[in-house]
Amino acid sequence: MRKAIILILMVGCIGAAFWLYKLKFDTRRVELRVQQLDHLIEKAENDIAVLRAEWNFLTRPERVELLAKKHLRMKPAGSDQYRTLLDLERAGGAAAPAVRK
Amino acid sequence: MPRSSTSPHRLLKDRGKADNRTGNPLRRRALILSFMCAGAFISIMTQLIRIGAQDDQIVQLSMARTLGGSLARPDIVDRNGRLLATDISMPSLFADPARILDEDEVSEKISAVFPGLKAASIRKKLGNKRRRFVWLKRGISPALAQKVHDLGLPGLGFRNELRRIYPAGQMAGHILGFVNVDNRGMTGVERYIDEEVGVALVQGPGARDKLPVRLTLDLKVQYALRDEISKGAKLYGAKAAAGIVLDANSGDVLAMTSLPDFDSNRPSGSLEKAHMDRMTQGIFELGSVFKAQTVAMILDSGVGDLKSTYDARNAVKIGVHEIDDFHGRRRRLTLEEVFLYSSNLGAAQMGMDLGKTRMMEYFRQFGLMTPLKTEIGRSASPRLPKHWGEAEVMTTAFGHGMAVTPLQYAASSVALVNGGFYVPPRFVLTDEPATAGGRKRILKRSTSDIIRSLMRANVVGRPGTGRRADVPGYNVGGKTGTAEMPGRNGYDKRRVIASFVGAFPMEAPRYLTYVLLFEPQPSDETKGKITAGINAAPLTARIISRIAPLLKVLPQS
Repeated sequence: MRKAIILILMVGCIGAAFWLYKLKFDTRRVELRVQQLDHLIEKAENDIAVLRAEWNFLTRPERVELLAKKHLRMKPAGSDQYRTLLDLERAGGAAAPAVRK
Repeated sequence: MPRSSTSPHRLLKDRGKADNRTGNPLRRRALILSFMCAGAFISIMTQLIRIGAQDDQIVQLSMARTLGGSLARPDIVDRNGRLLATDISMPSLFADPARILDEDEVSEKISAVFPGLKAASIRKKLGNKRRRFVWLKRGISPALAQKVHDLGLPGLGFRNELRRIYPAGQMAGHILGFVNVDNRGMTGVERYIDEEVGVALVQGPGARDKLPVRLTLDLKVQYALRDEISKGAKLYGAKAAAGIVLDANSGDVLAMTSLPDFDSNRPSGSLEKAHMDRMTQGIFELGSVFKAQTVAMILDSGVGDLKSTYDARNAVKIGVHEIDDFHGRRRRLTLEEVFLYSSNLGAAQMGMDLGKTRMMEYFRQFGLMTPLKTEIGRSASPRLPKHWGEAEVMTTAFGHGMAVTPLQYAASSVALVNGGFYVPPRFVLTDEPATAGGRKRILKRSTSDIIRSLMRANVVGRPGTGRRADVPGYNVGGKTGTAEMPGRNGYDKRRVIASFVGAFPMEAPRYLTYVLLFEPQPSDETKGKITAGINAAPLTARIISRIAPLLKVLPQS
């Protein structure tokens, strides 16, 4: 009987040691994972900042104007190209085509 | 050991029992022990295999860490949220001189990667063996960092630091200012951020959660203004040019530029005198544009009205000064004519009528007597006459003998057109209503009304000097000024500052523009003239026709 108890305790002890070791190891892994994720977040934040800067650099008015001149056959809007809804009403229903000179 | 004495007996006894049942107890124990050992080894082995088989990502990434001690700055955006400045983490190269084996080899190889870095200067840095840390190059691109890494030299290392980037580049260098190598703001809005908003030391993520600093600037308007001013300076052969677009009611600076300017990403040129911000750091005698203020003072104080007349027949000599008109009419002029013909003689008499005390009081109200303080720093101090004698009163009335910054002048002109309120110009958009800070009535509404109609008349037809500033549909109004610059022998007729102060739409102005050309040259385009009516006025027209649609000002039909 005593031997059985000793055996059980021994097994239990070794088991607990294993479990503790596993727990410690898991904790370390989780800690490292957290650190890793922190780094990934930081990296992602930095990537976003870079991309945002890049996007704003590429869409700067200077460049957009050059691209628009090259690829679009459009001119800057002149002051005679604006009409209000009131103008349409005044001109009657058939005014719509007349607006586009 | 009490048990050992009894063991032979017990062993024999036990053996007898055990043999009968499960065999030799010693073998049984050995078996259990070996099983346990085997189990332990197997578990260790499986654990090893598990760890070995796992793809561990922990090892990399060490280069992506940001150095504690980097200064995180809030982003700067324009009024529509367009990014003007942001922080980016970039590697910086450092060396530990004590661990460098061959200084010559290291300095040769490093200078080969960075052409801007001299081998001799690197060698000097590495020579000091007592130091354990020296920066070699800060803020380098990841590709170059990889190149240095691939050299495999001991004693070198990288730390990531936050660096300031300005995606809009040169667009608003004078307003944004720049930061030093430690990411501290030195001038402009960057300095304002250091002083008022605050920067924080960072480590780890979450440093970017700060709210951006929102400027009153509109990047599209800023670009249009800068582009037109730049083209205008070229067209009229001006040495420098500047301009501003102000919201006439809130004082918001929507765009401001002074050419030549500099790129905040490369601020090394900003300290040269040619690159100075003429809008805030230069003081100039602006000339006839001041007559708008003079006429306003006359009307507002009740010293004169629209029916008053002024003698413009003969040149007036006071001491060494001689005052005369550019295009002399040689007769008495009404107040309106003084404005439209831009008569120096008329304005000088207005100054005399007004008197020194009233004049100085109005100038003080206009904010022209003291340096202007805005978010981008303190403007240059105005240069006032040392002694306000008769001559000074007469000349300041048409904008000479008193030098102010163009920004200051533009701010004072806002009151002429917005119903009589002085509004300090601002560069940073805040939550508080624009009408809150510092807005105060300095002119009667009726005064502002008359000035507006005079400014419109000056553009709408003869004999106005600003006819070329008109843009169909936008009812532009304004005043020209061609100021001779003081030279070695008095004022120089060929060196002038041609400027135009304009507002639109004139029936209820929303925006004020002020454009300056420094030393424009006569050309075929200008029929050999250098006066503001032929260069600054049409330039204003081009600017307004471009920015009005951007600012959602509907044209009148």
